[in-house]
Amino acid sequence: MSELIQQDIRGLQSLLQKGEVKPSELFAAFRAQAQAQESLNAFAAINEFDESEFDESAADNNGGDNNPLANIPIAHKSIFCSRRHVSHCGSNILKEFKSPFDSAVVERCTAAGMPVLGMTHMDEFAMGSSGEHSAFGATANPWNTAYVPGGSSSGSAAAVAARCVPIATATDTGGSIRQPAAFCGVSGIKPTYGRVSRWGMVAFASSFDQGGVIAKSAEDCALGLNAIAGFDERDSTSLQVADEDFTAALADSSDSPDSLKGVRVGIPQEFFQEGLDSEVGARVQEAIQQLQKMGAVLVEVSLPSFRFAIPAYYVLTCAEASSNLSRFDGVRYGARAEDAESLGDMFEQTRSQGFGQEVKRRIFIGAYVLSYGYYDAYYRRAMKVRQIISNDFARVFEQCDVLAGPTTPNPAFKLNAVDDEHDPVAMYQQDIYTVPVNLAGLPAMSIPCGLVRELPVGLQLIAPRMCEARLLSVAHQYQTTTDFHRQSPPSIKA
Amino acid sequence: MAISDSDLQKLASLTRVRLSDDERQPVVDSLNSILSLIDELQQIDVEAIDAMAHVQGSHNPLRTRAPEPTAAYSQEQVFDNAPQQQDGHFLVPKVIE
Amino acid sequence: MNWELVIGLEIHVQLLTHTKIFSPAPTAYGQPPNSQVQAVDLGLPGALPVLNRGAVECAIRLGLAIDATVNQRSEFARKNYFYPDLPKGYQISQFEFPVVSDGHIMIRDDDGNDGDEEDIRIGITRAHLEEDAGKLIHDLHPQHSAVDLNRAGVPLLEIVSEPDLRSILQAVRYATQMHQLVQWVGICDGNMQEGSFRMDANISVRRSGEPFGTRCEIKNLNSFRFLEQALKYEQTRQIELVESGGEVVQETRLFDTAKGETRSMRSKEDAHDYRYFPDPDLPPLLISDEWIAAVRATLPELPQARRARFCADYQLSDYDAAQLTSDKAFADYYEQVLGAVASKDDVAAIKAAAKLVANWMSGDLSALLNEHKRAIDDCPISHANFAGLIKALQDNTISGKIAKAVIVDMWESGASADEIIERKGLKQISDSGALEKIAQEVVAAHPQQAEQYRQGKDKLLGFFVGQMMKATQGRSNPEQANQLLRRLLDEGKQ
Repeated sequence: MSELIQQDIRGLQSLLQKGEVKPSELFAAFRAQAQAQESLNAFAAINEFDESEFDESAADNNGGDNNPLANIPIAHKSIFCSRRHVSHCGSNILKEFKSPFDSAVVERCTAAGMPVLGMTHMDEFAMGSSGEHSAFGATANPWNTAYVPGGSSSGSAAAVAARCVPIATATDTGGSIRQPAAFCGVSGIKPTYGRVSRWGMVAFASSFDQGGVIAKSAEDCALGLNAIAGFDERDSTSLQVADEDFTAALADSSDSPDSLKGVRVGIPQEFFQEGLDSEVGARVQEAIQQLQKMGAVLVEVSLPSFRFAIPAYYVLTCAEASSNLSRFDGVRYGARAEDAESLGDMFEQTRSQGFGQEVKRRIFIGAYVLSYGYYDAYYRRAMKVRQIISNDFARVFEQCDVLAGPTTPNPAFKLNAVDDEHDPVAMYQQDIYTVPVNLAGLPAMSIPCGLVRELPVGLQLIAPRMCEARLLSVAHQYQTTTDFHRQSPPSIKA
Repeated sequence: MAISDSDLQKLASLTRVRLSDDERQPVVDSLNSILSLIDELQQIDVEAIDAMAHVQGSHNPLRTRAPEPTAAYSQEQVFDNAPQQQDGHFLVPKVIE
Repeated sequence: MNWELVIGLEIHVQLLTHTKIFSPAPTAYGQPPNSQVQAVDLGLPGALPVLNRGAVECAIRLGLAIDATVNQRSEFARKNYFYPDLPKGYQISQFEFPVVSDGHIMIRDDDGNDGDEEDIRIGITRAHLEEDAGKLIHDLHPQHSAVDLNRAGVPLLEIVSEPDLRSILQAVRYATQMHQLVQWVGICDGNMQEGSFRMDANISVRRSGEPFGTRCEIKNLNSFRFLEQALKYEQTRQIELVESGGEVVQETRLFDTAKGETRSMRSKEDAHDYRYFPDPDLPPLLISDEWIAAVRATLPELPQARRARFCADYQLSDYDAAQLTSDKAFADYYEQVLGAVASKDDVAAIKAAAKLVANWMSGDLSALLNEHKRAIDDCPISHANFAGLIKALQDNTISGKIAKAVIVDMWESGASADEIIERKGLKQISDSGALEKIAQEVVAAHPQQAEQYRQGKDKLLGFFVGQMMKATQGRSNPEQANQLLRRLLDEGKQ
């Protein structure tokens, strides 16, 4: 079975098509692995085998090419509402919450014939970069369980890395797909803002949040993106564009020595300055040299307003979050504090008990930057900085096709190593390379590019809006000449 | 700028998040460390920039929905997660106006 | 001391759409609690707003009707506060960029000199779209308040006047005229009992020529009578306060309809900082010239234009024209009746009938409508039948007195005037031979009165006309009867 769970999606589909493994057996194999790895605390819930979820017809009609995801198990980040599963979003306030409707992402995966293996843990309301801010306990990094898996899509990244599931959904507001993917040595894609419907995705910061997938390879990400991307009239920010086959550009060119010939890869100088772990920098430079070897042209570029990205990001996301989280008031759903003496008491106790410290901090900051007398100095100013950063990217993409750099400034850190109760800013700096992308709404990926101190390092690739195909193509070509993405944590091999 | 204890009390009241007396000081400290981070924004010149109301800019103007109704939720869908309900209403502690 | 009032009104108009402003749930009134809601109206996690096109069209209609700017780009913003009837913890409204700005209407006002009236211009600062809140019911349960969200998300247009109103009469006239206008252009049913039209009044006092005083806002007035009472109370209160050396405090006040007083709502006011910011779930609303033109094409002739046309084309007095155009359906009925009485091209015939139709509509028909509390829309007298009555009057088939009875019968039976005249034998006797015979009988039967008349008591002619009407059940042609009787009585003089 260990060989089965190491397979990529095409490999699994081929086994299904040939009848060498039944859908139920495939599900059971991953389920067994998920249970064996329960101590990672990647899953909020692991599902029983449910016959009705399987599309047996898909196996009969040799339709593998038409529907390569049929019967491939998937795990959903518990931020995605689902009628069948508890979507608690890592929060006590939604501990027992069962949505009366399915999110667009869950709907689309179900429509693609993907059975749900389970729901994954996450930082509460996607606020965090370590997986430690879940009301239901921290998730561990499968490469070394003393380390964090990154966040906020901590469970999804850890589950894929530990081979508990071939693919998992995730969301990225400031790096929540790419950073845990980097820490866990897996591939993750954050699409253009508006590609994936936010209908049924619990909102953290609405103008940043974007659904995506974490999987073992760029090709598996492309398959997953095919399933979840697409216009949805229920989301006013959903982009009305024709469906695209993101695998179309992934021609197998492993024989071709210069498959990236002519591709201009921009290297933002700000991504390699102070604060970057030198060994991480070295791995990323090696990856960039590999791209060059494959024919890419390297271009030095600059994002001059880079250092304002983190402050602008925290102003805007906290503002949106403080408002988005107002609906958790104990009136219509969610955990309500008992024995409240008055309405005000009920509101305050419910929210005080329901939210964790990090969530409360961001609610306070959000209210502060929007409050009377501060709006212009913070919120309006941050909106303008967002435009400046967006303009920086637009200018840079006149000189290159994709950007390459580190996903994170360091590899995974130890659990409880960052004392964010006292200094939350240290944790915020983890997202220094990922956040600018969300400010501009661009697509980006993180793919494994080696190890530092036996922990994975991620290479981040960034493309212009709507250029996911280009992004996936570069990542895929890199993966045809390297095998970092095939490496799994030592404990998994055993 | 800095957030004082009384600022925090005002924020707590606005956002309906209660903090006990001994909880407040560490929160004030952590908020001030965030504030010093976001105060860096004061160093960039934004004069020439229009505030962008939306990340999508002009790429995605607002669509409107045809005004035909679809079915409303069943009572089960409405009240499945309700902490307290009776006779088709959500109940909350008495509101004194 | 010469005090002047300064009043501005904010009017909340519920728009006549079948679905809510941001949700496809129905908007039916008077349904079981919480039966007109979906995910968006419940403020469920992951639910997202999508704007109702119908609501935007209502806003455009109003904008055109008040000669305002319909802004090609407007923006939705969140107004943040907690209340159990506000499911998301924020209201989606418009703040910096409303959909409509800078309009006006003309109202009639006493010019203060000779009792004549003149038109004055009342500026309308803006009109913006927003969602209504749900309802909180306090008398269902001893310890609890009950929440019904059927109204949550019903579209509202808030119409904000300039502080241009200088008297209570002006304020009431502005409000009633706006009430007429929103129904006229078909955006609101005008039902004040059901809360479709609600007013907030800002009022301050100043000595003539001085700057504006401090204003108070009186919330939620749902009838014109309450508006008038509240303004009167507040006028007296503020003047007395200032004259006794006090100062008006800027605050929100509530009108107690039972006591006829306003009282401070300061409790609700303390921490009001709504932290408005652009709603990240809704991109800016763009309204094209084509859209505005398409809406303009469906806009009916507006009340003031119609009133002016009635004066010009039908030579009606301004008073009559105002009466007829107080309601669009009433004006439509008038023109339908007029069209059935006289051919449109026959100017003389139209003019001859115009005043007669106006009098009978403003008089007896209005009385019947009031008595039965019916709108002209469900008047049981069809306009064709009403035209029949007018024709019968014009050709002397019946007298005005008979017509009063016929119109009541038409109301009750739904029959035409001719049928009723025929059935009841009400046709006026204009045959001079027959009338002369009756007149002779009447004179012969009252020799004493005839003698008195002949001795100079001219007034007794009326007595004989009455006797003749009595003898014919009112069917005598009154003019002919007059002439005949005078001749017969005068003949006796000789």
